[in-house]
Amino acid sequence: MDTLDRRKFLATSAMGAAALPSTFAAEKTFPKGKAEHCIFIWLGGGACQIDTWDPKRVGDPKLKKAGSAYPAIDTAVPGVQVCEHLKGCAKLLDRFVLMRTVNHNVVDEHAAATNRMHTGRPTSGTIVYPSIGSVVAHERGKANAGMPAYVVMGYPNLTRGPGFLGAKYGYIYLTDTKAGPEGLARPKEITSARMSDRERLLEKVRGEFLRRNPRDKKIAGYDAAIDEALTLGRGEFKSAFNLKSEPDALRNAYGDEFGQRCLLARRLVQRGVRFIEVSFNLNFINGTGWDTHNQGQEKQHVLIQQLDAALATLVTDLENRKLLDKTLIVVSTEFGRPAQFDGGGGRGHHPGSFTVAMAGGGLKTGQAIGVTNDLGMKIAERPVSVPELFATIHCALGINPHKNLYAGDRPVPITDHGKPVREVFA
Amino acid sequence: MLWADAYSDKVLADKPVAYWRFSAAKSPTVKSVVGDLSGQLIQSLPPGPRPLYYPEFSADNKSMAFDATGNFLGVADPGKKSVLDFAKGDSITIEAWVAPKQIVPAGRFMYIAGKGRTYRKGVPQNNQNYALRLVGVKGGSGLSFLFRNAANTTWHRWTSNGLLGAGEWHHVALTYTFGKGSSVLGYIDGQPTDGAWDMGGQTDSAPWTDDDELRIGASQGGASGIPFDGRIDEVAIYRKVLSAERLAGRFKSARREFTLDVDALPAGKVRATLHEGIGENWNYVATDAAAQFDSAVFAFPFLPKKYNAKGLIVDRSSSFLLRAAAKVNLPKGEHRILLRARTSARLWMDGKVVASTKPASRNSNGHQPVPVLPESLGEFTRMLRPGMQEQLVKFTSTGGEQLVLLEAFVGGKSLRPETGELSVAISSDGKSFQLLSPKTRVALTDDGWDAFARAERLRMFAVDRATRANVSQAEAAKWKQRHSIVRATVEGQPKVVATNITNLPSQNAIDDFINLKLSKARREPLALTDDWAFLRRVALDTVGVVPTPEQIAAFQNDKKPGRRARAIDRFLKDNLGWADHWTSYWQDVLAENPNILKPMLNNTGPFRFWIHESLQDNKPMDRFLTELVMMEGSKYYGGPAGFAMATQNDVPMAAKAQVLAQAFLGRQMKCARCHDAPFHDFDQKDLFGIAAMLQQSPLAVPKTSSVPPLPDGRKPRVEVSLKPGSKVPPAWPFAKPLSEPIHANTRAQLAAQITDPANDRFAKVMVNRVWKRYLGWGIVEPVDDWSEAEPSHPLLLDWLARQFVESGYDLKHVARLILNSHTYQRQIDTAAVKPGEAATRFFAGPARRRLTAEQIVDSLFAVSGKAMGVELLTLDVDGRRPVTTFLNLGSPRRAWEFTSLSNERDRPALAIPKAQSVVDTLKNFGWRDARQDAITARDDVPNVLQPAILLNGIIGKRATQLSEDSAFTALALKNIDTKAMIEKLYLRILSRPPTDKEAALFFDHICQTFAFRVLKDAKPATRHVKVHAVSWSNHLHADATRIKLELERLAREGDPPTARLRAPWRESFEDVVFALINSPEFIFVP
Repeated sequence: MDTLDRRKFLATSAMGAAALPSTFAAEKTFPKGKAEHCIFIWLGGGACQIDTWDPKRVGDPKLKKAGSAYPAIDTAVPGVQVCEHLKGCAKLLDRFVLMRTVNHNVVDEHAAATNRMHTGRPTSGTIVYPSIGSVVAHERGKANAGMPAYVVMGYPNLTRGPGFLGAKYGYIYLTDTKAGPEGLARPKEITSARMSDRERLLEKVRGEFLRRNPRDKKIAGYDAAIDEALTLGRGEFKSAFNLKSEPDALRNAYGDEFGQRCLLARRLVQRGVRFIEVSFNLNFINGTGWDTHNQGQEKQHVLIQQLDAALATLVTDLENRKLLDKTLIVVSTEFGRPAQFDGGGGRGHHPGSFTVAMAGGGLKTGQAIGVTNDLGMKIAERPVSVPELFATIHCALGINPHKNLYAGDRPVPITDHGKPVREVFA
Repeated sequence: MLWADAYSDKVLADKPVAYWRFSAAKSPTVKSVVGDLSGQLIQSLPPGPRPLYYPEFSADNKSMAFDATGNFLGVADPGKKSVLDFAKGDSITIEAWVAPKQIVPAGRFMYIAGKGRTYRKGVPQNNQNYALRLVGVKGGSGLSFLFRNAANTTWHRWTSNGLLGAGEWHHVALTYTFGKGSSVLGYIDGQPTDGAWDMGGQTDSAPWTDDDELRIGASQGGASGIPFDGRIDEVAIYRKVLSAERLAGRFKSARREFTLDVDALPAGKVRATLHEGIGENWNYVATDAAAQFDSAVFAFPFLPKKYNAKGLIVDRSSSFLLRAAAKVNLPKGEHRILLRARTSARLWMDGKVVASTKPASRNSNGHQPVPVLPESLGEFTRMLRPGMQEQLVKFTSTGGEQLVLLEAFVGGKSLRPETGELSVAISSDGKSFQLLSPKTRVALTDDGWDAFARAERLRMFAVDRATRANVSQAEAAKWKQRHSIVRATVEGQPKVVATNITNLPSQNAIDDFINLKLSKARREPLALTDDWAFLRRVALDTVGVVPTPEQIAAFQNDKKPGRRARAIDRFLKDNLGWADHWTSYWQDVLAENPNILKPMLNNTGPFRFWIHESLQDNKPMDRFLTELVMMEGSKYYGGPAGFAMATQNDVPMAAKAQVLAQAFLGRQMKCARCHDAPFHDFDQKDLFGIAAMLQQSPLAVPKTSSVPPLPDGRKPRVEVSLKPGSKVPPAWPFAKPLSEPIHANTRAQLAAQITDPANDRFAKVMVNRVWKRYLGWGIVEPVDDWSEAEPSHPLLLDWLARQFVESGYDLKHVARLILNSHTYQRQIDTAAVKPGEAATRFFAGPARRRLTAEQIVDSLFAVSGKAMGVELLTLDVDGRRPVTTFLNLGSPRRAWEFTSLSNERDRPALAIPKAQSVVDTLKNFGWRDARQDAITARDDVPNVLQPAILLNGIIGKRATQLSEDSAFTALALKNIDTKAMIEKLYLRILSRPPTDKEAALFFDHICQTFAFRVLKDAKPATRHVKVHAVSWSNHLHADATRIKLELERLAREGDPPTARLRAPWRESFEDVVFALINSPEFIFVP
């Protein structure tokens, strides 16, 4: 019995009175969002909620006085404040939803917490769970046949991978917007004339080989992939990386490398990439990135300002192009940070309550979900679990959050029994 | 008595009148063990002489520390004519253990103990009844005995000829009978030493006596009074002369010096030995050599591994000492000597330490500044590596042969036992450095070192292989014995006989089985493939890379019948190549999954090295399986103990049971982890029974290994017969009588069950795996799940399994049979794109196979003749972190050595750019950077990223670009004509000559300016790599990110092109290379 047969068997067999979780779950309704794409911004290291989206009374690292590092400012949403370095986003906060009570229990291990916030569940000894990007790629597929479904701007790692869904639902990654993904653009010293020379030679060699190996499906399949690769190297996908074609003013508004990544993300959305993870890991600014232990805290405001400029521009840019409702922006991180300062004037890790910001995606924006206590260390109202967060993202993208994925024959709920946060769906 | 030990027993047996041990003093009062003599001193009590070095002392023996500030212990005299007073005619023995911090400066003294001369009020200043001191003399510390005559007019001072050193414990004693000047005798470390009365001369006169204090550690009121600097212990005073025999027994030291037999040093070589259990500092006790090996130069990038009696890698002591010595001819004059080491090392030249390095730093919190590495040595001298230290010294040779000795510690507490680039180099012309050697010249440049290190690694494979064979002879004999018993059993069973179909070509029995089925179905086998394709196919299937031009020539030049068989034998003899090819297969099948940065899900130890060694040794597979199941040897450095690990998995042994069942029994038990398998004939209890055998105790089923009831309370459809928490005892679920003795150890029992000849599943699964690898599809499919297995050729399967068992579970024997078959050597059966049903699987020829990811990468480097040249596979480059969180998988030479680069943290400072380009390529072609579960068949569906990375990626660029180290460059520089060059290029890349059409195509492309391609005067560029010290310890510093981003950019540049070829022609030649390596022909097995 092959895999499909087994699944069918599992789904329809009269053996035993009980039904499968999938059939049972599929009966549930869910709010179906209208987002077609997702830009998943990753603040690796653990961004501090009270220094960004959930400001509290101002503290002082020198006096070891717990609290926010920066004063708060009002936003476009009455009663909702953010830190003063998020000026741009503050004005646009009616396009945002702030999930202020996301929480889990992975404290001291970045890799494990990163995995939790990419797969939406604890690891299991029996199965490797896919990342949110791979799940969306699996569920929604490519939005344009000539484009990949899932692109990562950041380092390749297991956490971003497809797990049991298989390599097909993996990502294409790049670490430098100028260089693009490795292999999809010819090296810069190869001129187009030389490339055509090469392609001409290659074509003859390929032709000769195919002639000598007729009716060989495997070879033909790979040969077709060569064509595809050459096309990709020339075509629409590659053109996405030509950021210079954008107006200078817009490029400048997006800001430095992180901003350029966001701009690239918008261009990829336009071309039909389904899920784009944009990593903000430009650690040359403060060494630690968002993992602001010790002296890492000193220049945190520069990170926040860059995030603000890029994110505000991205929201505006998408809106101007009528893409904001179709594009869910998620600003996520592995955990938050405590209100207390460490010995070096920085902050440790705090997974007990932190903020994940969302924007656009056709959500009911202009609200903050959940309330944290006076220093943002504990949840006062409306906790949002990681599975709930994931179920919400799925719903926003029109994916049934109660369905099952399959690891071979084994049904695996798409989230860890998460229910969507219904408040964000109109 | 408290603190009694063998030493104090000896002292007390001699009945001292005073004996201070300095071990009981919790209060400031320091009491004598005998009598009522005590003093007051608040002082730290550091360790005194202790085992191992001083075995007669208790392990917690303490001493008293004195320093140059002049603290002392003063003991009041009990009164007139007390036990502490010595007059004319009285005999005295005064002894102590001392560990002076320094050699006493010439003419200076250190006070051990004496009576009087305290400068206290009410007593004369020079009232020394007696004093034992150390004196700086003749470059060492001698004993000094001093007293004042009774008339208080002269000093009498005696100085020993014998000397003692600093830093270590020594026993000192002095005996004297007052009034008898000639009776004085000193003892150092139990050995008598004579001396001379100097100040005041020898005398028979009486000493001064009074009721002043006895002092230990200083006289004259303290600081001004020749204070002792160091530790003192076991001060004892006797009113008699102890015999030389008694005093000789005082000093028992296990401290052993190394002896270097200079005459035994091999001529022209460096002799190295490794010494374990020696501590981490120079205060060591010599231990016997645990290993001895020779080297051409004073450089040790790799050390021999240690093996147990089973031939498995085991760990050496956490720290060990390398000693390497040679006689080196150094011309008269000044030389510069460069010592590079990771932790404490010192270099001796003719008996003197001339250079040394410090213990390694262990600070690794990530926030350190990025150190700037020195680069001022000039002349392309290879830069110092992170985590290494260097010392550059001048050495003036008197000419002729010098004895050179390098001592270097390796590893240490929470350090991996790595040598890095441990070496001694010399520059005699004031310019370039060579590795120091009695004979061999190796330049300390990047090219020089890299080539040396590559050769050294290969050499160490051979050294280790010989060691393994040597120490495990008894083990090997045991398995041989088993094989002969098994053979006898099997030979008694009915024979499987092949029927020859006379009209179909057959080279061995395999073909008869295959032909029979073909003939019954009225099908034809395919014709034999041509010789070019044959050789490429065999090379890829045995050593994992395309054949070299030399291998092609050897085959083509062999004109006698049977040359294919001889070629197969030549490839099979390449044990290292065989291991390089097959290791990655077993990494997949056994889910070998080490992680270089902190454990994630299902990480194991790097037992890849055990796999690789087993394959090099062509280890019988029953032994291989048994060693795997026993999980012994080194956990973190490559032994099968690493298989036992499954991090973040709550039942590691259940995961291992699954792997074993799938790999060796064709039983897919994944489902049984949580419930009874709906499609297989085994239950959850069966899996946990095997897991418990591995655990060697009953195993509880955790909640996470179960299927909970559905939210609405209904039962899940799958059967869960075990409740969470229930304990499953060790049990073999597949009931079959065992023909071997029952083992008490359940792991041994499990191994015996699996390999028992009565269980033919093991042998069949093994041969079927080899068959699939070589023919594309298994006789049984899928090869790792036989639940619904139906063999396409049952008799062939039986026959191969029988061959396997009778050969002593020899996988290479099975491979040889298959490779020599007509079936394997036939043209590709392009119709066999799917395994299909067993009934319709004929094997008219092998199925089309794409090269594996590893074969592609290895072949790219092989055809371009380049070393991989990627970074070390570690994020702890400077070696400050323990192996439990950071592995170092070394500098890979073949693709199987890669692993996940583990940048879960998404930090640019943790990027490993060059290695990443190889990892990306491997991944695109189906290799897994993390093997969290076991698989056999990889996904080989083509995707756009595969050709893309070869067309435009870093790896394609490195293979294509005619860099200085490229074999294509060497070819292009050859003085041959265009046609010959194209032919050689084809042979090198595609293992065949070009067709006329192809030859013409490329002739046109490179013929222009062919004659002028070489720039005659241009010299090959010398490589000099700037090194940056980014490591985990400093990766959170902003500089680390900047540096890594720059290194990423440099990686994208690839290897710079040679200047010896004119650019336009070079580029046209590169285009040809580009076309050939990007042709689908390159990545399919012909």
